Amino acid sequence: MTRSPAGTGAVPTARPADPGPGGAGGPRVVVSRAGVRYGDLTVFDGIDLTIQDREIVSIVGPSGCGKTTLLRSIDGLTRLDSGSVSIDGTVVDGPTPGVSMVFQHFGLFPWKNVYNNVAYGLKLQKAPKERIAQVVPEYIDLVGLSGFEKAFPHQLSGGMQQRAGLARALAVEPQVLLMDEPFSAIDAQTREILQFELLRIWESRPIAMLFVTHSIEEAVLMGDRVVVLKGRPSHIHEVIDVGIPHPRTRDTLKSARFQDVTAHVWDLLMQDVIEAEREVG
Amino acid sequence: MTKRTGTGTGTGTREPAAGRPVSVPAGSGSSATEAVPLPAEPSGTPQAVPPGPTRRERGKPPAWLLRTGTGLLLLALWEAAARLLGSEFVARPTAVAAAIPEVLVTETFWQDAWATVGAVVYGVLIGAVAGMVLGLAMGRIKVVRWFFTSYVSGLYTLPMVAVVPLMTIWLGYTSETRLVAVALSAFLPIVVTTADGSRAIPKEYLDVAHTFRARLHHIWFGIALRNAIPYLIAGMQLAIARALVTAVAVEFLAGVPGLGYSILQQTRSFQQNEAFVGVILLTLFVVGARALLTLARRRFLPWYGR
Repeated sequence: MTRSPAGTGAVPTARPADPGPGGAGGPRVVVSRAGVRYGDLTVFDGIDLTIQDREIVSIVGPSGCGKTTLLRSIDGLTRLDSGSVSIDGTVVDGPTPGVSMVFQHFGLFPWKNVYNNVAYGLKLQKAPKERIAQVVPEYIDLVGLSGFEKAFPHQLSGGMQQRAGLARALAVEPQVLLMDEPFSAIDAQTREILQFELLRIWESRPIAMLFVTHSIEEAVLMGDRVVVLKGRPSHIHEVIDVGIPHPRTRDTLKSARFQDVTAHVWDLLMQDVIEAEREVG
Repeated sequence: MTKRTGTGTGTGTREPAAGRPVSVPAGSGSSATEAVPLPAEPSGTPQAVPPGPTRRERGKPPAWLLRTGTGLLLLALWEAAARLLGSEFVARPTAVAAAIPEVLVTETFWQDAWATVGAVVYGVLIGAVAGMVLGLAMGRIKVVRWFFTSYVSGLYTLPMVAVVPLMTIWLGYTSETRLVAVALSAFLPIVVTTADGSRAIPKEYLDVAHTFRARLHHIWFGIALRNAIPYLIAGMQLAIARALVTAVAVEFLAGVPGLGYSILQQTRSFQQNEAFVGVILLTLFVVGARALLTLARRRFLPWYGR
């Protein structure tokens, strides 16, 4: 397939010839010189990142590196201390229409059943009743929760709860989907199923997607590009073009390219761990 | 009744104590002989596994029987003590039981009962609505919280009984005094619990709401108040008990007609058994009201712990 990246050397970029899903739709999200501080602590600084339409960008980095904070500032939930985020050319100043987020702990309201949780975004947008009645079942079906419309979150497994969380995010038909470690609270088998289902859903309606995870394999499997954050304050250490065409399947995990990129990202992140341990030792 | 089935070796229970054979004491039920040997665990390794879940299977009497039995035993002790030691003016369970039918047919008993219970019901409703408004405001608005917290917690610890004589100066020896005192004593626990509940919203709920650009009223009434409901129910349980104490205290102190007042009068005129019927009714009211609230919580908030 491709050359094995030696050590920490850059992975050769191997873009698929067919633009299709996987980028090349024009910039959707532009992050420029972004920085966030908590008091004296600078979480990250000088982040430049562009997410194209029809592209999945994964963000990996050690815990505490500010991946989630970066995602939240794109969602308008966290204010930047420097730099800016713009979506479709408009500078973000609070939550923006057309941007949806999927949360680590699902964020489903326990007093609402699946249907009403999924309808939540549409209702806040004051979507007409007929539209809600048409769209909500469609997305419940898309995530495989048909028949569970009336179930309450506490009656569902973690995987099913996150399906509902995904349906809620997609039901407003966003142009940008932000995923904040969406599968990290889910058991390994279910997690793998959901990863591929998310890929199928995305391939059927590709939008700009930012996927934060602490799993290197997940970052490489999901991402068209993988952004590695590290350092203190953290910054973008490297952006890797994954170069594996869609549709991605379970076979992708066995491909040499997948293995190479994973190993490369692993090396980048392990450097830090080794250095940190040396400092302590 | 054991739930253990023929095939089950420890199914349905959490990890039974290793190596310990499940021996069911004789006379515990039909399946007593069905002592299922556990899967071969190294016997003799004393593992500290709580025996909790298997307790019922070993055939202890059911909880309701124990509870009723304890109650009956206490009544028997009371009866015996009253007969042996007490004067004839000490109420006895048998005499109280005999007085029940007589009391229940008198019209004044029900008038008094409604006067007290009605005051508690209305007072708690008024207190709850007002308490929810202030509690929600305190939970969601920093300035309001900052301003009211010390007053609310100060008043919360104050026994309402202490203020009743002062209230009679403003409102007279009337049933309005009782209603106001009851509402006030219900109001405070509701304020405290609603404020806690609308403040302690899981952050992710707020993130979801903000992501979809929720407005303030969505957060207040759609999330904060909804999230406060379990707290509110706990507050109501406190409120009802406190409100009843206050209602009876006002009747005692201000001579407002009601069940509390008639209990006092009857006791003073040596009708101690009749007085006790009133006490029982008040107890049943509180127990019933609390049970209803617990039921409501289980029915409408099934995700909230038991």
